[in-house]
Amino acid sequence: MNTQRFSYTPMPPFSGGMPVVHVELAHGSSSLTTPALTDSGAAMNLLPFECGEQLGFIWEEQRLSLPMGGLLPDAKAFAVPVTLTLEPFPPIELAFAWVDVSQAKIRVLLGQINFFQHFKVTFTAYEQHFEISSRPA
Amino acid sequence: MMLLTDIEKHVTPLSRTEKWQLIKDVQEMLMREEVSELQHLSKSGVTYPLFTPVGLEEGAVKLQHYIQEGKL
Repeated sequence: MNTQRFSYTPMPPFSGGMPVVHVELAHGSSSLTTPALTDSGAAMNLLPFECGEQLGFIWEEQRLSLPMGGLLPDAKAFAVPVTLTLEPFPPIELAFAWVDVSQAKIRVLLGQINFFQHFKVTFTAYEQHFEISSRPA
Repeated sequence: MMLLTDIEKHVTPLSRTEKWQLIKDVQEMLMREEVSELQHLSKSGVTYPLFTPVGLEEGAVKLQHYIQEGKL
């Protein structure tokens, strides 16, 4: 199993760091590089509105709607396929919830559906690092 | 420093009521320590963003269905 160790990213004013990775997201011929939070508490991967636009998705053309609740009760979301590259792992196609919420309010989240179905993540917050392993074939 | 075995010797003769009271006191002591630790990690008057949106489970189930149905 291929395993990579990452350091927590400092996020003042929060005194501890956060498990953030830098990923490349791609769809068709469009791509972007962005920090993404490996968030075991998030039920699914989230893609802020601007990121989806940069990847070439057109909001009006989306058909696979997703219900949003909790802290995002008024948000609308659609399921979109995105190719994620997290070095040193090979690119993988994941499903994201593309939300009509700005990246000023929400960051790219890698959540249970379906980032955590493809990667094993071990958090060692007290040592400010975490490890990601690709799922065995 | 008192060892746990020493403490047990002192606790054993207590009445049930006193033992329950002791548990309650220790629990409150622990709560104060936890709160104190949380306050140490954060600063008063500063806004801390929530990172994990709650209530996404229903959407996640639907997303999983889309994946399984090959719609993505």
